[in-house]
Parts: sequence; C-alpha cells; structure tokens
Amino acid sequence: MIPVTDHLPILVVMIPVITAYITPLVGILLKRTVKGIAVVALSVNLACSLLLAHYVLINGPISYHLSGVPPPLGIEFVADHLGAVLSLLISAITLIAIIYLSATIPELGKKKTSIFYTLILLAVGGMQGIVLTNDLFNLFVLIEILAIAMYGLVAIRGDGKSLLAGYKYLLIGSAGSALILIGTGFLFISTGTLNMTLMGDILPDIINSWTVLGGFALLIAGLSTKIGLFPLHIWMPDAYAHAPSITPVISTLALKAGLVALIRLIYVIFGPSLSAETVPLPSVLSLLGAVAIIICSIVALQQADIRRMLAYSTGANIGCIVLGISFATSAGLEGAMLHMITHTVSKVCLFIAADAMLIQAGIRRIEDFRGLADEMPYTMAGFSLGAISIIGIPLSGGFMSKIYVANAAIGIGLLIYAGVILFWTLLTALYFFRIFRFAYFEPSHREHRLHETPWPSILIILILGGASILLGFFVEVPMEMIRPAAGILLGGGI
Amino acid sequence: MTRSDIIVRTIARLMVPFLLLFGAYILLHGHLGAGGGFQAGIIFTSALILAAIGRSRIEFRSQPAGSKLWILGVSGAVLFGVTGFLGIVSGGFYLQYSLLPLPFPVETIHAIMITIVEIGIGIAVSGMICLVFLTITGRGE
Repeated sequence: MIPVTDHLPILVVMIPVITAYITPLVGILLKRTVKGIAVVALSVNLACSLLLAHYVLINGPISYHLSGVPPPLGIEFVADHLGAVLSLLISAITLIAIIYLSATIPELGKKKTSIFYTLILLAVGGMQGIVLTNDLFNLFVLIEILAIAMYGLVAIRGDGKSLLAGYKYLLIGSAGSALILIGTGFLFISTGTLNMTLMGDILPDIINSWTVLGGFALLIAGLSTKIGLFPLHIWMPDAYAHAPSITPVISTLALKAGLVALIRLIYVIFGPSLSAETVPLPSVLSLLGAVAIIICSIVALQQADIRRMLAYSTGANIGCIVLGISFATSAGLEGAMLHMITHTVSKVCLFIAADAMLIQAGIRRIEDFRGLADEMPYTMAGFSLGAISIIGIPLSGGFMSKIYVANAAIGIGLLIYAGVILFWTLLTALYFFRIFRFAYFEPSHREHRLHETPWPSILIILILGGASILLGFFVEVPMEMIRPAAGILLGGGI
Repeated sequence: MTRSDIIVRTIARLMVPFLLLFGAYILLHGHLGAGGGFQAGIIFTSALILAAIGRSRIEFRSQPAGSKLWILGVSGAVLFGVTGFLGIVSGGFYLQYSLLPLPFPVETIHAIMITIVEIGIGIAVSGMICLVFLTITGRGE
C-alpha cells in the first residue's frame, strides 16, 4: 500500500481536471452550485499543494509513476522543490482569483458561466501538470490543455475585439505548440526516451548532432511563444485588454508555468551538456531577456489603457526572469524563481484592482485615474502596494527579487545586465508614477462621485497588495524552498 | 436540392454503417496496436457528420441535442478520471489496474479496464466533436 502523501502529485493535477469535466454537467442540472463547486475544488487543491510543499520540504522530491510503470516506459511525475513551490503558488492565486470572480461573473451571462469555470479549472490542471511532469511528451499535452483553455478564456466574451484577440493568440500559440511537438520528436528520435532525467543522462554524448540542437532550438522557440518572451509577446496586450477579469490573472500564472518548463528544458534536459562552446544559449537568452526588459518598458510608457500597460510590464518582467535563468548560476536561478513569485503576487494584485475599478467605475484609461485616491481610497491603496512591488521600491517583494537577479549578474561579471535592471526600475517607476500623480495629486473631473468597491473585493486586493510588500520582509520563507530547487537543478543536490 | 446532390447523399449514407463498424474496431483494438478512444471517437463523429450531410434519418438536430451531447461528453471524461482513481483506491498508482480485486488473471483485468477507459475517452471525444459540429452549423447550444 502506497502512503497517501505519495499520491499528492497526481491529486494536485487531477482534482481540477475532473472537477472541470463535472462542472458543465452540474451547470445543466443545478445551475446555482457551479461557483461553489469550483471554490471547493480549488480549496481542496490548495490543501493538497500545501501538503505537497510541506512533504517535499521535509522529505525531498517525490517521484510518481503513473499506472505503476517505471520511467523508461511509463510517465513520471516529479514533485521537486521547484514544482512544489510553483504548484502552491498556482493553487493559492487561483483560489483567491476565483473567490474574487464569483462576485463579478454576471457580466458574462448565465449561459457561459459553467463553461467559464470549466476553462478556468482546466487551465489550473494544465498548469499544475506542467510544473510537476517529468515527461517531455506529457509536457506538450499539458501545455496544449493549458493553451486551449486560455484561448477560450480570452475569447469568451464573444464580441468582436475579444474574438480577434483570441484568434491572434490562437495563431501564435498554435505555431508555438507545433514547434514544441516537432522539437519533442527530434529529441525522442535522438535519445529514444521521453523522460527528461533520462534524456539529460543520454544527451551529453550526442550533443553535437544537428538533430539534437535543432530540437533544442525548436523547443526554446515554441516555449518563447508560451511565455511571451520579447518578440513573441505580441498576443499579450490584446488578450489582456479585452478579456474578462480573470484571464490576465490565469495568464500571469500560465506564463510562470511555461517558465518552469523552460527551466526544466535548459537545466534538466540540457543542463549537463550545455556549455558555451556547443550552444551559446545562455548569452542569447540573456540578450533576449535584456531587450525584452527595455523595449517592453518603453512601450508600456506609451500605453493609454491600463491593462495594456500592465501587459507590457509583464513582458518586461518575463525578460527579467529569463535573464536570471540564463546566467546558469544558482544565484541567477534563485533570483529568477523568487521573481516569478513576487511578480505573480504583485501583478495579480494590480490586475484585480484594475478590474475592480473597471467594474465599479468604468475606469479603463490612465487619464481616468484623476482623483481616484479620494473616491476609492482602499482600492487605490491596494493598487499602489502592488505597483510599489512591481517597481521595486526598496523593502518590497519586487525589490528583493530584482536585487537577487542583479547580484547574480554582478556575480558573473556581467555588469551591463545589472545596469539594465536599474534602468528598467526607473522606467517602471516612470509609468507607475504617472498613475500615482493622477490618482493622488489631481482633482477628479467626474460629475458624479464614485463609490468604493464592495468590501470583499477590497479585502482581496489589500491581502494581495500586503503580501507583495511582505514578501520583501519575509523573503526567507520562499527562499527556503527555492534554494534547494536551484541546487537540484544545477546538479549539486539539496 | 439539385440533381448532383444525389451523389453526395448516396455515398454519405453508404459510408455511415461501415464507418461506425470501423470506429468500433479501432476502439477495441486500442490497447493492442494503433488506435484507441480518441481516434474511435473521431471516426464515430465523422460517421454522424456524414449522416447529417447526407440528410439521412439518424441526423441529429434541434435544441435538446446540445445539452444531451454535453452530458455525453462530460460523462465519458468522468468515466476516464474515476477509473484512474480506482487504481489509487486498490492500493496502487493512478491508472494502475493490476491490483484491482477482480477474479481474473492480470492480463484480463488490464484488457477490461483499458477498454472501459477507451470507451470513456471515445464517448467524450465523440460528444464534444458533435457539439463543435452543431455549434459551427448553428444548431448547437
């Protein structure tokens, strides 16, 4: 008999997926309970993720063999420190988002409600699978599950703009999925296995073959569309601007799941054989990351729509995480993982606050923020806390993670990238201070005084905003998981 | 209806029973060779779509079809998920059938359970693709 804790990796993935399948049925039979079922399922999922993280922290990684067949033939799930911490992040944020969402869903109409929750739960299952799987083909399948749910979530409003945004996302995302599948095929032909760890053992001998290098390039290119790395981020602004409130939140998490896949590709599969002579990948990725940071920030400065601005800001943050990953040092990896967490918490806070303002007061453009601190003080306070962390003002969560990445850059002598991060902080401050100036120092031009958001939304926004600041003070809590994660990925053990 | 329609209709009607039989073969052959629930579901659905194109008597139409297909698709997927959990309940891993307390040899248990899973997948795929067809042609929901 296998202890129950060993089943946690599969439970974390299958609970949202099976609930997603049940949801439409419930939607047909008992229309009112859909939200309740989604909240219960995600709460159970959060409990499982917490248990998993606790277990992994104490006992080390869990390896789970689906259908009892061991790795060379069977599919393996590995809950290592990286997977466990990301799984916890995904469960926690989606639970908070879905609680917030249950207040705002009427905007979609009754008919779409159950489909909407189905897509969210499927996306959660896909993300949990991506961060936990150790099988390359399984990774592709889970990326597809996530991507298809995301296309639906972007287009679900069904009006012209959101359909167009969803179609754009579908075209770019499908091209990315195809590249990932071809790359997986190339690596499978070369190594004869799909298990990532086994591939990592075989690849050093054949790293110079064109098939392997081609497969690697295809996988990197395909994953770049999924994580929205600089030239391939173009689907993001439209997808965020016209979708319902939850889509940017789920998408922020989906990007992180894609980044985990990228980390595993580089460090688990290619880690042992990757060196500057065979593949100049680290320098290419660093360059892409730095360009993403600068260009996305400059474009964000020019946006008039708040959600488009936040989308470009996400593009820049993805650049920072890729920069941290590309250094191939434990300091860089730790910085990248910490930035994944701080960026997710702060950006989700910003998206939810922006959505509360949109629903309550129809605020969409940055000029509309005039006098907002006076009329919606708590929502604006939460927004400001999130923004402080995204800018990286000292002592906030975002500051700590940026410092880690910048330190890593200095540690390997690439001062230019530390400079890029500093310059990026100034640019970010510039576009958020524009909002602060409107909100705090300019009078409102509206004829009617706006009402504050209902208190449950305020509570959620303030919790997320507080968490994004407190992460800076309690940075050791996530670091306790992140340090061993980086150690395992770099081959040094815990 | 023009006269040339008769070719489409006749061929489509002729194909339907053979496609259904082929689908059943692919479904049951799934765990031995190429095939399985997904492919079988697609073949079943293509038979139904051909029937719809040929306007034969098993055409599906009208409002209730939408929600019935939802139920079909959902129950297939749930069948798959729940069968997987039987493995955990019997003391093994997810989707592991060898430990199920059934009075057959292990190979027979595998064959039975995999067939159930494949049927679940087939039902789910068939229901969902039918729904996609109905939605595209404006008869779904």
